Amino acid sequence: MKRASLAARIVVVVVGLDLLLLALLVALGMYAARSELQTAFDAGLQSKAMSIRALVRYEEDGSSDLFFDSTGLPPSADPAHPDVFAVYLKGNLFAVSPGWNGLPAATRYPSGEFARFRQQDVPYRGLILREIEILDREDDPTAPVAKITVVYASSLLEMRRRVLRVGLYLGGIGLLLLVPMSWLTVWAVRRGLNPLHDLAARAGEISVGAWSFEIPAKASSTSELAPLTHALQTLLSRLRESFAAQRQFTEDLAHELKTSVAIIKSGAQVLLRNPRSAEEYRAGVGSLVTDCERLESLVERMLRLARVEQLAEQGPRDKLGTADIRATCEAAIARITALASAKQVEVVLQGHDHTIMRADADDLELVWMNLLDNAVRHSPPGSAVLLNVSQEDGSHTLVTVADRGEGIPAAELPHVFERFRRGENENGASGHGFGLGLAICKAIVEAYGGRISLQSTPGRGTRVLVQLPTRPVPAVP
Amino acid sequence: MRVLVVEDEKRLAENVARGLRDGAGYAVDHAADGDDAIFLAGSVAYDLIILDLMLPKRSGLDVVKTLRAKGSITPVLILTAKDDRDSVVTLLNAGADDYVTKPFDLGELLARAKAVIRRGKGQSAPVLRVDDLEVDTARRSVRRAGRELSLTPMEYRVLEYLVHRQGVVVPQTELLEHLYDYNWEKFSNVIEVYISGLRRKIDDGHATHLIQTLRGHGYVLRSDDAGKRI
Repeated sequence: MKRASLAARIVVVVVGLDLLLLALLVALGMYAARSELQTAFDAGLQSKAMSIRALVRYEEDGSSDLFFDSTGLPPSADPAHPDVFAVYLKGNLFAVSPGWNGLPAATRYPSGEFARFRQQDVPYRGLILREIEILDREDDPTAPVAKITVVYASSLLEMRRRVLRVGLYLGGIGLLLLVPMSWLTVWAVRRGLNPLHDLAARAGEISVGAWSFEIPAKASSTSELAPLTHALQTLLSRLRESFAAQRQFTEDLAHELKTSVAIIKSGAQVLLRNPRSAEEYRAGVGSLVTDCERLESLVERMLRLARVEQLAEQGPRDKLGTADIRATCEAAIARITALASAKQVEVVLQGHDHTIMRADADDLELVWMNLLDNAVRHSPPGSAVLLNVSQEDGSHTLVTVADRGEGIPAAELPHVFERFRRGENENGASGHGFGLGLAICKAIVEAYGGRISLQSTPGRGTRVLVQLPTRPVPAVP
Repeated sequence: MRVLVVEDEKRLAENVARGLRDGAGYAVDHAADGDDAIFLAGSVAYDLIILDLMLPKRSGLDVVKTLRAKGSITPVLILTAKDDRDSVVTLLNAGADDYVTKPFDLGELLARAKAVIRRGKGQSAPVLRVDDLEVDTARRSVRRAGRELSLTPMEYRVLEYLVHRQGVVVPQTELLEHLYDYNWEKFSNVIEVYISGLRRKIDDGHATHLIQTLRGHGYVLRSDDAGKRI
């Protein structure tokens, strides 16, 4: 895909607007020049027409005959295209200049009007003065003064040429100025985009090893970049947290794995170090097998966690079947019975609502198993663990697991769902307690769009609440 | 010698303790978290503390710092799953004496434990000598004038402690503290029994008597002129 340049777009728009402005300026300049020139031109026509009027005179012989004195003609404005004129006396052509073609047949101009017409294919502008008295007077002041009609026209070509020159001059200067202007525009736009380049360069330096991201001063003081820098910072801090959590998890996992291997290795070496009886060897190998099972369970839980997290990333799949929540609870209770009776703890299932959800029944069973296992292990002998299933509304089911154990200190509560987080009195002694059980529960519940929370009062007991999106079991007809 | 093993994994602590008892003849106490470790180290004079780095309540690093801040000179050997350079440097700078990374070799752990104890008591060679008496701490064998002596495990432990502290008067209470772990009933006359056994095996038939009793003070292992039997 061809990439559009922001700078190029801005430059094209600015230079285009510059050109438009220049064209407008030239047009205005030419109009103003033409108006000025035309006023002068018209004044010239007026005075020249008056000169022609003065050239119509009475004969000196005392008769009242008129003659045209062509010696005092005014000079032409444009020698290449000389002025033309015509003088009419009582409707008849009285005097005329060379090259006079006559007015166009249809013209009926009122007196004092300017008219445009062509003479030998050259545009002319003329002034018509109808029935004006001549300036010369007869000796007898009472005799009536003769009236004439004068038409005087000058070529427009010279004026048009001048207007055009003004236009060319303005346009030329403008175009010349436009070159440095465009260059300045390009420079200014590039400079204006500098904060963006700085930001990009700084962002480009970020890597897994170097998280530090300082917003360049120019970028932080640019209001248009604020949303971008803000988004970048938010993204980075989230990424950093996620990487740190991942690194911590890897370290914890390495610690667990190395410790498990260290237990097996040192156990075997203790056994090998001194000669022992067959009985001792048997007991030693038995412990080694237990240690191996512990390592196996760690690996199995890790894989489970990884699988659930993958499920959460991909979202619920279509090929998932439906699971009956209460049925999975019953299955989990059946599996915990042996441990519960060994600890003299009773597990009671309450609630009769049957609800179903789109889920892998094994996943749900594992959640209840982990929760019941924790509850039973922390319950005093003779007490009961309550597993309650209740439909909250049409779309959610609440499952709670409550024990009467020693509870969890308030300071520990925010961390109970973290991986490899163990309670204070839980350690490797039990062979369980990697601190992964609740982390796995949380991962599964959240992968299915549910929520899990834990309430605990030290000395009174602990209650885990799991809310899952479900629907009621359709009635069997 | 008496060792404190601080390790929250019970099985690992068991194995290490067993290795130390069987392989080196040491008395071993166990602490499962950092607080217990600080308490025990403050109340008993240990010859060595073997310390896991990841502990409940207090980290191993924190334990080392606290001990050193309290003026403890007991050698500390760290068990760590982290083998990156930075954390090792931090540990050693905080006052730890040596470290082994998990999963460790039990033989290596014992050898390092012995070496750290030795250096902590001002000895450097694994074979300690007083006059013509040789105690080989690696093989746990004793010779006098080139002849191998056969000692019971308890006699060896008493001698090993005395030879590490050669020339110094060791009271009975110190011997009791360093040779037995918490689970033993302490009777001071047991020590007298071991000492007399040792005297018989080491000094009988030799002109110089190396094990001397200073009544009311304790025992001393040395080879000077005061060694003539009083």
